[in-house]
Amino acid sequence: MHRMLRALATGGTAVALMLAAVGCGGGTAGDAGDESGGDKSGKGKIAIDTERGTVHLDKPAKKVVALEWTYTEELVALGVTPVGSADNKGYGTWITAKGAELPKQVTDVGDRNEPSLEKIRALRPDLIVIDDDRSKSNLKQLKSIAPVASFKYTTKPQLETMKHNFTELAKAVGKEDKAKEVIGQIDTKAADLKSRLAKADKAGLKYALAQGFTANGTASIRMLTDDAFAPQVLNLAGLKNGWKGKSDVWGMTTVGVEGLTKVEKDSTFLYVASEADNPFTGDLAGNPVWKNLSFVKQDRTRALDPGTWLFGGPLSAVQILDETGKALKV
Amino acid sequence: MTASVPVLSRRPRALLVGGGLSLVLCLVGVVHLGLGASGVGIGDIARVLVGSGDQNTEDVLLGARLPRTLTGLVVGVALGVSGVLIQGATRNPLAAPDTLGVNAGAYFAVVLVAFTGADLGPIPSGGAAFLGGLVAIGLVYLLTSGGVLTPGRVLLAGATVALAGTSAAELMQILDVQATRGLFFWGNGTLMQSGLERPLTLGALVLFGALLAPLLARPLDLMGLGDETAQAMGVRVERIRPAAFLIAVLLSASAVSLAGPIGFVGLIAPVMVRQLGVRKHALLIPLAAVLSAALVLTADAAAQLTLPPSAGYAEIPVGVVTALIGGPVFMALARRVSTGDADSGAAVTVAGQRHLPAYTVAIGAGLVALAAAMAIGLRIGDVHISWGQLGTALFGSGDPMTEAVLSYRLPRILVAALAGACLAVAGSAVQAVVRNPLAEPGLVGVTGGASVAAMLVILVVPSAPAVALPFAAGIGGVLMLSLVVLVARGPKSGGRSGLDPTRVVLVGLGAGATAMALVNIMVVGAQMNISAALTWLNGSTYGRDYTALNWLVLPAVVAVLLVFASRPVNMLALGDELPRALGLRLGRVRLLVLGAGAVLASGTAAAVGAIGFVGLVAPHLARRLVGNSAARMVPMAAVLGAVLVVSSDALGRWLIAPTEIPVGIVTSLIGAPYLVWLLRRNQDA
Repeated sequence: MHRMLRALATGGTAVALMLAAVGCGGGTAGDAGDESGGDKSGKGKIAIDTERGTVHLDKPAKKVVALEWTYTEELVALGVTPVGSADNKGYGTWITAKGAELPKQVTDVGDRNEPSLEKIRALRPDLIVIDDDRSKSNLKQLKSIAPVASFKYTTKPQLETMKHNFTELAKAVGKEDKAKEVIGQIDTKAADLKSRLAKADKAGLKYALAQGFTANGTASIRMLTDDAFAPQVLNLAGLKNGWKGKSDVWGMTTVGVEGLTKVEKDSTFLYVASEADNPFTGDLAGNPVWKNLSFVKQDRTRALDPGTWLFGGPLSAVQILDETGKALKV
Repeated sequence: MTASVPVLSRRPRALLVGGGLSLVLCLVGVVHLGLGASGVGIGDIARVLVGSGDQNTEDVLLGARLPRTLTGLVVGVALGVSGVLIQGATRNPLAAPDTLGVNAGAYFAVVLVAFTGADLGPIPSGGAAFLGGLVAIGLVYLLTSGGVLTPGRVLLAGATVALAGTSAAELMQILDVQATRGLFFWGNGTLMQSGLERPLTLGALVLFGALLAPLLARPLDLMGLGDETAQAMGVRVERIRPAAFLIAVLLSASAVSLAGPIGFVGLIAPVMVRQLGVRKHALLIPLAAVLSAALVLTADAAAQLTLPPSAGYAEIPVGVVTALIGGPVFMALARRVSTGDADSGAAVTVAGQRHLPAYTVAIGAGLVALAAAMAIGLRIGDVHISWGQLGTALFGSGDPMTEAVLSYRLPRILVAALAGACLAVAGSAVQAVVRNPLAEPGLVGVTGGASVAAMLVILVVPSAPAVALPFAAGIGGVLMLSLVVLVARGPKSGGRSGLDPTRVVLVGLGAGATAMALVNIMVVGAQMNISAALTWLNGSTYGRDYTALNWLVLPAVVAVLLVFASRPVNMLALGDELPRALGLRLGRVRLLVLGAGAVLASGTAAAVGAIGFVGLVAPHLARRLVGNSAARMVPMAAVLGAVLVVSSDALGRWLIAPTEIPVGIVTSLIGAPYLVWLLRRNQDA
């Protein structure tokens, strides 16, 4: 019934769209003359590889608008303060990695799905960075404001994709050296964690990584598979993922408490949950299934900092490694 | 319609039915207990029960399986009893906690609580749900008790109240995604629980309500004979009816706060038990409870078997399954319902033509309002522009920034205006043919059909060009409309080809529910990027530019043609005999006008997606202002539709800027109260 009413709520649609489709012929709303502001005839000194082909820039971009948190984080990591960013409040809540703070003067341009075009225009950016999945409704308009770098996060393997996108973004803002340095930090951190684990006799430790929250009083748990970014970062340190569930495009399996019985027995359970809404210490604490899981019985459950963002950029990667090290006490 | 009460209850049959249903429930319960992600089966559980099982199985049983099965039982009993009480009190087999808006009201209250960030336990949150449900049914009661309690009217009022509640809940989810996180999934109803505490606490509440219900059994039996007869036999109808509603709300609110809104179960179970020959409420109440619980558990088991939790990324919410099964049942029931509106030809009658202002005055005022709405739309937004700047820019000498900003606002506003006008005319055309002021494309299941087809294209041919989406949606919409009209014709009614207007809408509601359940299953099952479809389905003017106007050129031409063809269109309203006698080729005219409505609605959907209520509100207002003649009514409706969509768009951009509210949600929030007012007003007339 709820769904149906939703249909009504958004109701009033076509009786016969095909007649219009025939009538209007090729005049589709999407494909008419994609003029790109700075992408003139494919010439330019800088060429960056994006999800929608090569984008050319005459000179490194100085005023950048980022419409997805990950790319905002990446810009900050490169030492570039974006002039505009989508949903700054959400960014502040979810991305808490060291050095990723967004300066106050950055203009909030609205929701990540439908950012305010006029506000972006008013910022007069010379590059706009977007997530390809969110670009369906505004790509053309954004392109008429400034060159658009459209990146996809979920292409497998996600860690390599992040590094690639990050490097291309760095090219666009003329900070390739900084990008190498930042990516290097991930490997350094991972190697460091690996040796500390070895010293603590925990080399190759098996883990399961989860993000949990409660929906209407019931635990909802996202288990991350090796298809996801965060486990790939942890695997750099020689850790091994003990969760093998089928995954969605983000590399996650959403389960209830019973699903946790499929975590491999010798795994250490690492999780991220907000302090106000932690199903692992709250809703599940008294649950017989939970209490009898081997990692609960043997006290191998570890909370990472609630602000650890599992779907972020290089700074979040470093934070994941740091937090895991802290949680494993190495 | 009226549930007749046989003088003698046939005891042996009741025993047989009761025994059979209990057996079914036991079987389903056992199967349900055996399903789950850990792979613990019935055999393992049986060993635990005889005392030789392992610890693991026992934990799974206590920590996951029992809570889930118990939740199904509690929710099923609550919805079944609630359904019997509501159907008995309204003497209406289509009335249920969901069709009367109780579920939506309770859901809205729970979302509101989540939105304010208050962390309540199961009982207080149930209390909020109770209040929400009470407000909803109170509204429906207010809307209908004053006038004739026709079943159709009650259901329309219920659907409208439910719609308002759901739109408001969606708005809150847009306002704060994080606070209401997870409610989207829960919004479809799920039995997942991670402990026995909640099902036990709320179960106690449900038990309390279910034990009170039989006290009403005898009065409800007598009320089945009609209010007056019941009064004469000593039933205090004015007390019994609210008491039944109160208990029903208590029960369904408990179910909603435990598992979310689960539709159709409370409707189907009592109807099925009655079909089995049980009519007396003393038996109806417990049997419907048992059957309803069996239905909920079966639906959940089916969902788990289709997409096993051990293999999948997510589950199919149980409410989706019940809607999938319940939609067709609802259609079949609606087909036979006598709504009392068939002869008048309208669920909502159009007021007599009192004090009509002169046509030119009305349309002039409308155009002034449109100009004002467009000017305000141009003026407000994220980037501040003064009236002065706006003026100079419009006359070609503005500063570049103002012009740049206006270059976003102007095409959007033009698209909104033209789309609104086309939607209004589309509504007028479809209404003229179906002779039903409620038959706007969105209210008769067309949206659902279009959505299913669009989703199918995205799933089956992901590489299809963008034009394929509205094309497929059009075919889906037409098929759904044909189906709804076919079903709504109902049993042969003596060659009368006029469609009972309320029945068309009721059948459309059922069709829409099934279609949306299919869409949900496709979304969950395919687990793919559906943002393209969702963007299209939501109805938004975001990011539209002049190319979107291309879609609207043909519809605009058709709208003009319709005005020129006003004579035959007017004659459609006269029924069958008179136009035929006057030499009108009725079949052809109907087809042409419906086709016109199709082109209009399709063009708009291609340009701005699905925007609801405009096709209902604008023609209705226009009729009130300038009367029924198509030559005057259609242009007036077009102007009003334009005003409505342009203002909704401006509101959506301005209210919580820089975040936008999709224009479809704004028109719903305006349209639902309008429909409420319409129903209310109509009964005074």
